[in-house]
Amino acid sequence: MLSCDQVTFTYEEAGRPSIREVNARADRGTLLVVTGKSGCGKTTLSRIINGLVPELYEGRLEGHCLLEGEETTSQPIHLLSRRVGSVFQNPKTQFFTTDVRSELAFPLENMGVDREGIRERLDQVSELFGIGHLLDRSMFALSGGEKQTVAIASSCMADPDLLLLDEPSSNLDVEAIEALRAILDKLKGLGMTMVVIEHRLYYLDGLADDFLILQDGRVVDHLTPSAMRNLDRERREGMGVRALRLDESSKTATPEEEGGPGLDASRSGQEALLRIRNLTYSYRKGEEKALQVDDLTLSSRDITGVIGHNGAGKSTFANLLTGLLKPDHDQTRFTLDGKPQTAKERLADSYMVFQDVNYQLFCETVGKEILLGARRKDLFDEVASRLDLEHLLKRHPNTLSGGEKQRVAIAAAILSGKRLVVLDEPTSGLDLLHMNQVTEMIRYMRSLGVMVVVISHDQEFLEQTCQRFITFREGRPVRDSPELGDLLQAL
Amino acid sequence: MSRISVYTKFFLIVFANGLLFFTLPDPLVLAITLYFCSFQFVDGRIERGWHWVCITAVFAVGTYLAYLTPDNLIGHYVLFFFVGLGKLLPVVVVGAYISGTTKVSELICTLRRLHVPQWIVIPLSVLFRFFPTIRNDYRQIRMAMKFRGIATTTGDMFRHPVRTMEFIYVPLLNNATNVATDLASASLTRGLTDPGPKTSLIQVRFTLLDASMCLMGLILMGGALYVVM
Repeated sequence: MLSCDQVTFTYEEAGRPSIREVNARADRGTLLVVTGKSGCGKTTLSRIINGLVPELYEGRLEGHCLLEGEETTSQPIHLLSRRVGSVFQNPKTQFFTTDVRSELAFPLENMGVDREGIRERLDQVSELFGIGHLLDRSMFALSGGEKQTVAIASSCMADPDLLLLDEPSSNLDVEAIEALRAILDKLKGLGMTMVVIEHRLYYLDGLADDFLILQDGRVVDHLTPSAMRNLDRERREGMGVRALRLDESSKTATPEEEGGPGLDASRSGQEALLRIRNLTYSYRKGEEKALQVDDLTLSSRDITGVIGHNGAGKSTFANLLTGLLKPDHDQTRFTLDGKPQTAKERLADSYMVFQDVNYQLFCETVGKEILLGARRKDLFDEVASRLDLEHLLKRHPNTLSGGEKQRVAIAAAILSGKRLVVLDEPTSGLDLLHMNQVTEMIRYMRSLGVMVVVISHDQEFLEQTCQRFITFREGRPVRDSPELGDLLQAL
Repeated sequence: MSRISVYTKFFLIVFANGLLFFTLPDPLVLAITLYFCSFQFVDGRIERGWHWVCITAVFAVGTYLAYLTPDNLIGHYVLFFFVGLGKLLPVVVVGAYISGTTKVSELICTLRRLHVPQWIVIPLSVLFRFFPTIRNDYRQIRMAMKFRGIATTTGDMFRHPVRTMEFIYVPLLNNATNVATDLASASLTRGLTDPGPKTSLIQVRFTLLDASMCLMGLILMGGALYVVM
């Protein structure tokens, strides 16, 4: 079906090739996984397969990428797109219309299929994906998982020979990933050929037929599923690849802890405690409570992981904790080290690193960015070197990669000198190396005496980072444990 | 889905904007504005309909009373408010109706049937794709500003308007650039550049209801022209 033969590609204006002499094959009805560190060339390979090279990204291509014997890059993209369906990483930015029905119809409308034909196919596809109930909804009103399902459904509308998915799980929560797995399973059962580019591998166990591992643009390994499962940890981590099975990831060799948690607090002198009592919050007066916390104490000694389903109250809790929202009534007490705090004081004393850090970058250079509003300017050199930002200080934040932007946002959080930092899904779309880096940065924050709360769905990351796990369900903390266990069950 | 076709909505836009160029007697303006409001009822949006009828009534009464106000600063302000802003009311009523009841896909389909070239249709559809995201973007950016200690209150925003604008625009535009690249990939791989004739799932028909609503509009328009001449 698909065969890449000695493919080398150099982007225009790039000094060296992004991928070199890559050979890959995907037979009809099989699922090929392409994995490797960020910047290893996975996405470049995907662009050659779906024709975005040369349509959107120009450069010099050598070798051949053949789909059923035809060169992919030499056909016009509108013809290739009928045969290769593409699904991208970010569910928010890959829909072109504003409602589900139109989004599904979009590829066929472009092809000029008549109305009856579109309607028929739309019925088939919406039944296959179980999205009949979503058809009249606005795209903006869907959850991330639903958006991603619609994106896959839409790329199946033209009945492609090959489906290419570029990190489809990176912005999804655990349950949405389960749903994604079920969809891929179903498509595979129907004989669809798929190429999945991914960091997060556990959900592909049992579905994948082949694993291709790239490093610095070259294929360094080509493994069968059993070889991948038995890959020894050191070698896997050397290639920057995440675990195929989650039970293994908990044993992951994580960056060394600098002393025990007790020693960590030494630099700040002592443990800080934030106690929350009688906290309730409703979005509208008289409506059901969106959040209720009777008595909860957070400590700067533990890195606290907050977990829960979509809509379980995690974000509301974070917004109340940081003072963005005000609680319902005056009986609510927030006390930091015994001193009561108002919402305004909490806002002045806390910081949030968003899932999408693009919204919190304001300046024209990285250096200015991390100093904006900073109270701990004295830490500048130390933070810049620990977060590996020294060579980036003069760059414009928007020219950085996703991982680099996130490091800038975290650096700004540290220099702000605030006592509480909340990180919302800090590892979406990160490879092993960057995930470990985030863990290290969080530990560094703790060593400075900062109280850190992490909202996350990423089991591998949570296990290696947090010492305490609080589960929210229907707006209440229902489980508070030093052990995570199985994330799906912990929800 | 709206019971009124996009064709009729285009007619409303032309009509409402045309009104800005003429001064008509107050009762006629009132009748025309109520005619615009009536579309909300036709589309079954009863509550919205009454909402706009009430606003129209406030302006009608206000305009009538404004002429009685004294000839001083306050009087002029009242006059400006009711007569000046009242002049824009028909456009606002039509705008609110159209933006609340029109799907982007309907609009695109209509534009294509009117043989509007692709280079207008595509940017326009991208524009509509962006509008709904701006509010959410704005909220996120305001939150981010608060954590940085910039313009933490609404009052601060007005005290340093230029600075505030900059802090809102920069992330808004940066983000839009990133989204635009992703959108380009998504639409190219879904055949947007196909040179062949395009089809539409959505059917846009000019119905009897459209015809009768337009006829009413034409009668009012005729009345207005008669007065102007």
